Amino acid sequence: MNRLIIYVIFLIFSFQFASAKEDSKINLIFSPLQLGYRYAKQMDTQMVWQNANSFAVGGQYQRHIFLLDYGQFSDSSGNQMLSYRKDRTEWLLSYRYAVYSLAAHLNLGMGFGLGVYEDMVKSRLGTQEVSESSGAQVLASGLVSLGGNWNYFFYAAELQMLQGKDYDPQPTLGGLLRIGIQFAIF
Amino acid sequence: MAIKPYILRLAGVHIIFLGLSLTGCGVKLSDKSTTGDIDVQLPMPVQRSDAGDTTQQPYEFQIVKLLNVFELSKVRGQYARFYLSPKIKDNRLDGAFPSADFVKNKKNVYTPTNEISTQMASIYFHMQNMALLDEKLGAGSVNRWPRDIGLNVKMKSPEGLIHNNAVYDGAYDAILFVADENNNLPIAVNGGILAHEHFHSLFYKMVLKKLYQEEVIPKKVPLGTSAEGVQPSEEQSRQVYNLVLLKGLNEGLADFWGWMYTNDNNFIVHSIPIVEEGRSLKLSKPELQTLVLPTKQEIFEDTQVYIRNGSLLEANMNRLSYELGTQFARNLKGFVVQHQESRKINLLQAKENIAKAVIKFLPQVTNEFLSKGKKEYVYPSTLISRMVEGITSLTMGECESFIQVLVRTKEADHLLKCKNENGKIKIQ
Repeated sequence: MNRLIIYVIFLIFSFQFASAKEDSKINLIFSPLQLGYRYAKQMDTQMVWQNANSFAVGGQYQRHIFLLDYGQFSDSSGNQMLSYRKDRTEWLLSYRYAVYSLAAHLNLGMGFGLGVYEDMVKSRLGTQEVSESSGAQVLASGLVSLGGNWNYFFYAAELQMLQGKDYDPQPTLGGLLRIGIQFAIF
Repeated sequence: MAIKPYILRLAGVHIIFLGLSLTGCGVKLSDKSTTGDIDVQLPMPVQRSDAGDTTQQPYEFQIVKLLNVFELSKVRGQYARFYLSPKIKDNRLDGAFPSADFVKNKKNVYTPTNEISTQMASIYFHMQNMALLDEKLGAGSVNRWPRDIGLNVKMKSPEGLIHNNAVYDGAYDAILFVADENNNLPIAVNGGILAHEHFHSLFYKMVLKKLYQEEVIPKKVPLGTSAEGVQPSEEQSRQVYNLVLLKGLNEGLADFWGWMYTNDNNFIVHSIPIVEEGRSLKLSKPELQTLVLPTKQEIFEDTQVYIRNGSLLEANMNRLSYELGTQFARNLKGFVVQHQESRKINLLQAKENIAKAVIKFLPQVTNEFLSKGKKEYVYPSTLISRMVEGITSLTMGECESFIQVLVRTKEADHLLKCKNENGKIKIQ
């Protein structure tokens, strides 16, 4: 059922994509100041907003935006004798299409992404320290964005639904505020 | 006829989407299949080759196998189930199952990513070992599995919320862990303390439950009406004495269980350093040869002092019980060493034989208190004699060696000797 809904949504804006005008500039986007959040389970049953360090690079062509996001989430617990630190690193390539213009510089977009993540845990017991890694795992996302551009500025607020085998809950709700710069390369 | 660019782009987009969908089908985006026997990396007691002490770090990361796990994300399986800050419903723990988080490496070994996941997996592993041990020692049918475990339990004492502790609560048949806020090995990871608490469940079901039902002993310390300078009543004196003796025996056998499981003389210290002096089972050879049991008279006199100082009766009774417990535990360890030497067997086998005798002895404790507890003072030496008699294939020589501790104790009106009754060794 979920796959069907995703497909129908995709179908709607794929027609828009197909009918887009061809004669336009290609902008390069660099978004170094991003605030990333995840509404995830932490340590027990409680849901908490976790924040992340993240940045993105990408490009825009007409109503199409591609972004490659890098994000890192950290969580630590324990005491002086026994402690744990988990770092999750994500690389997500995402596409969004501006399906509706709310104002001259504000569009509502929808899209999806595919990427990889890796969990790394460092455990310390007294003087013994061990590190373990999950290796690269697949990550998929669907997203809705509200944003646009003005002169050299690029901005967006995004809601993401992310799915990966170690994500809890599944899917995990994420939020992202982007502020970046853009400039035309063609 | 040329194909319109519109159609080409539309087809292109759908091919990409179809490709992504098919890739997605082949990729695991969720992991709900973690069940069965699972390798997990956890803090475990360092293996000790003898019953002595070690200066090295007492715990280290080891890969162990959790058996028959139904759901790893809740660490729920055949041997334990967890409740976070539980409530009580119908005399059982009730509430949310906490979530655990693990990273799986390429060798399919899971490593917990946070403290609570480590606690859950460690407790599960030790409970699994306790189940296997119960079976081996003849107590396999005593407990109900999976065991209920409460984490982050909020427990109050007159001084406020209790921290850094674990208790077995017979009323709810659960082991409860309160918040651990020190910088030592977390109690929930300490295998010796888990074995100690597990033993309390055996003692409760095999001894205390029946004695509470028959009202042989009160559930709470009988405060009575004693005031300073006033002689306590005979009933109150006897009740307090028997209660302290029973609690001391419970604590002592539980400490023995912790030592037996970890082979660690100071297993409590790693998590609660304040008990270092009092409850260590470290014994030198001369100490082993001069062990004594607490006498009835000593316990009686101590309880009398505390009864007269009624305001702190419960706290003082608990302290006295732990002191008695250490004496019982040290004597049991002494029996293991003697048993190992007399039969020329390895330490593991000697511990197993004495532990089997302890399990056989528990119903006799119940009987001793049922028959005498309402009218008489039960003697520590009588209890320990019943335990020694339960050692499989006990020989006369071994019995005489064991009762040296009873002889040294000099229980004035209670001298004991080994006798052969139709091939069975008895202490009378």
